[in-house]
Amino acid sequence: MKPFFLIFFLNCLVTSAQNLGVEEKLKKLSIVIRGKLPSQGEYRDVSEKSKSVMPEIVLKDKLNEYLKSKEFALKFSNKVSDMFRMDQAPFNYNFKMDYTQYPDVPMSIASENYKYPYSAFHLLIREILETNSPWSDILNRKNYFIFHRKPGFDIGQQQLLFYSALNPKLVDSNSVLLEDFTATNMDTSFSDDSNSYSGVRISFPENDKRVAGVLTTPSFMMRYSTTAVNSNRRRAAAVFRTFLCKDMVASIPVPSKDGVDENKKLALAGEGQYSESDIVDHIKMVQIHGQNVDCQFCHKQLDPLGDLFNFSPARLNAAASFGGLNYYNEEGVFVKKPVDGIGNLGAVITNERDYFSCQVKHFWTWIHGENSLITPAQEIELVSTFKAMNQKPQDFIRYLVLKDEFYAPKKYTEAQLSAISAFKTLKKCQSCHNQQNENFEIQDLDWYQLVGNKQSIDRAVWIKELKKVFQKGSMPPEEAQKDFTDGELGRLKNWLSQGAPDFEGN
Amino acid sequence: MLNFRLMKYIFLLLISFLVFFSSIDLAFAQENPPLARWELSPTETKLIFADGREARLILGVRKKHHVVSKAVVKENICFPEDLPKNCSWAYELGSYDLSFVWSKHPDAGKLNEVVSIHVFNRKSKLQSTIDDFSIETFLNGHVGLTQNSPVLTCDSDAWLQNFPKTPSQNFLIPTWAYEIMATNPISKKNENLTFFQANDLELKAIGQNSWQIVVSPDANQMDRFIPVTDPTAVYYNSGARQCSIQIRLEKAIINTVSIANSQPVEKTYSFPLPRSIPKNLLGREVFFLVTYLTRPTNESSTVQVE
Repeated sequence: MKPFFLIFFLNCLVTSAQNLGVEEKLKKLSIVIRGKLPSQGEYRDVSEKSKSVMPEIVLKDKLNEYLKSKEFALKFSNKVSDMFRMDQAPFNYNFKMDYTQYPDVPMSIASENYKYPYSAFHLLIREILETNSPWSDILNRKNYFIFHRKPGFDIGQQQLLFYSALNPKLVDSNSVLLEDFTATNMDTSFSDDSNSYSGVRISFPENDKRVAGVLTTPSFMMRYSTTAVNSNRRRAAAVFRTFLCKDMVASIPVPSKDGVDENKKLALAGEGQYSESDIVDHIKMVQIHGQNVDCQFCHKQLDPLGDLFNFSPARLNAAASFGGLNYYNEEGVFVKKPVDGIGNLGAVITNERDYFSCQVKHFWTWIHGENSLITPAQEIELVSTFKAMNQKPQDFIRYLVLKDEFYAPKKYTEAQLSAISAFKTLKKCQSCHNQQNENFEIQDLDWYQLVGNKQSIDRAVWIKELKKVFQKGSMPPEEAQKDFTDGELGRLKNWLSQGAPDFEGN
Repeated sequence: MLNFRLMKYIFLLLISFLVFFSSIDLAFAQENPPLARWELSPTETKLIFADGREARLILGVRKKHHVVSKAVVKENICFPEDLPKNCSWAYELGSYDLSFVWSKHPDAGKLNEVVSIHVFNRKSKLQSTIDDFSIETFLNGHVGLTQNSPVLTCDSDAWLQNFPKTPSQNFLIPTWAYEIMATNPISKKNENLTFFQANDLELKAIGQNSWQIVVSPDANQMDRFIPVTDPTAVYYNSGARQCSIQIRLEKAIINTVSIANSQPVEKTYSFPLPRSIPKNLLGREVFFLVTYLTRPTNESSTVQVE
């Protein structure tokens, strides 16, 4: 009786969501896209138009209007900043700037005074959002708009100095004509900085191997600052997390006698949990760490990507560094691709299926919320659409909003949720059961079909085998249990005890 | 509720009055002409005051402060065994005063005294102290100052043998970086950061196991001193690998600046400014304060010199 009541209740919710009035829909649309409520005039306008035109068309027009607004660019560039774990506001908080004097600055920024001198990182993201440029430009863009302090303030000069090895002309601006300095408008009062800053567009050739969108901005390099010991692994981890949705979490199970795991301590240095100064003998630690198999699982992925940032701890080096994109993809296959310079990373990474699935998940979460669910079938559809739209952010967001789920989020049965959870957990098994480990019998299973489709051949045999290994406790082996949370394993067992329903809940 | 509304209206009314009367005040504020003007010549820089007084720009050069510091070279990531046992850095740090002094004044006792300026009830001297660490190259050209780069001396050179070499057989250091434990301005976490970096420094042999830093002609002046900050990391390539070595100093340059600034002034030069001035110099207090003299002022701001 209880499940029936629950399904009835959920269906009621869905029905009521589908019946949202046009004003309620406008409110949701405005908050999700612009981060603010519609004005009273907008409510009246939409309500009035809906009397003569279909509400869907009225709302679609509003969506198009909102996507061109500066609030949209601001809100979503903040979302992207969060994705990178960057600050949303740039470096100076007491600032007034007349952006209109820079015709080359990204569009909506030029439209009025803003409170902050945006960094090259923030401006690049805003420009991509505002101009509806391909999302891959975040990695591939070779030009930047930079605001920098005019006279003698290192924090501003750093933005230019950062690129000076690539273009020595950028330091030529270190002098100023006396006439400019003594001009009436050159007020060096620090409370009003509008005349103390300058803006400049710097560009590098499209095939420049040393420049890679947001990755080669002062902000990214500073946020993920490196040291000799860290060797750019923090930067590599940020790339994996942001572009491939792979968390390089230290998962080292061996506890030491005194309860302090020195390997884990080293792995966590830079994640804010330990400082590298806590570990006195780096050489010794690296030697111990380097021999640990669990450590190597991450290091063989992090280190080649970190190499791309070599010789650029605080500013870019004139020469590109060679490295690679090595990682276990979602299928459990170890991908190993050499990359000749960080400027070529974008071309490599944006050809990966995991890049697409990761990015559509970001967009999905931004539109539907942190707790929303994306099913395997939806993911396939979204990836296909994202590609077809040439990764244009406004187009893709429009597509997501125009889907039925936006105003009426889909509800799933307990059996369906259980199947989706099982699929996600079982996919993690592929980090060991993959094509490179020839001894494993289940190396080439189509997990999506096996979990999601009850008609799948051999499903019954496979489910029986799965039940057996779980009952015996042979899988996952003790060494691999660290890769799963208790919740994941609990839900997987629950799915088996429910009779292993498929994605339709059958 | 009524009281609250009433208070709100009274408050708004008060604000309106304030805005109105402050606008009147601004409207009647008069601009006075600048108190002084620049006069640049090939031999000197002057401020000519409207009342006939004159001040000239001079550069006081202090005695160089010589430092010898023990250095510990450690943590060679690629070749842990390749480390020298004893090393030391030797470097010198210069300190300079840029000042405007009275060159024409009705009170003869004021001549050659540093000009004092009162701005908004604050009295300051038209003077800035600059050190080699932040000096601009053009300063050298004008008064023939010499800046010697730091010298590293060790008990062996085996540890350098894996470093790349330049055509002139100097050891090439692709990146030399200054690391510091500080608050990351973006993440707000306290962590080890690389703050400054110099590229393509060279170690030129000047004696038995002794090398002097060589910087490229267009390098920032600060670059030559990055090796004598503390701690530093030296990055180089060995084959396909990036290697690094840490170096710690007993007496880092940051700790010797105040000593250099307290050395006696040995020589004084008249200081002609070029028409194009490095921005770093213009940010110095001596020039920043001059802007109060060379621009129009209004009645509400009180600027005086003595």
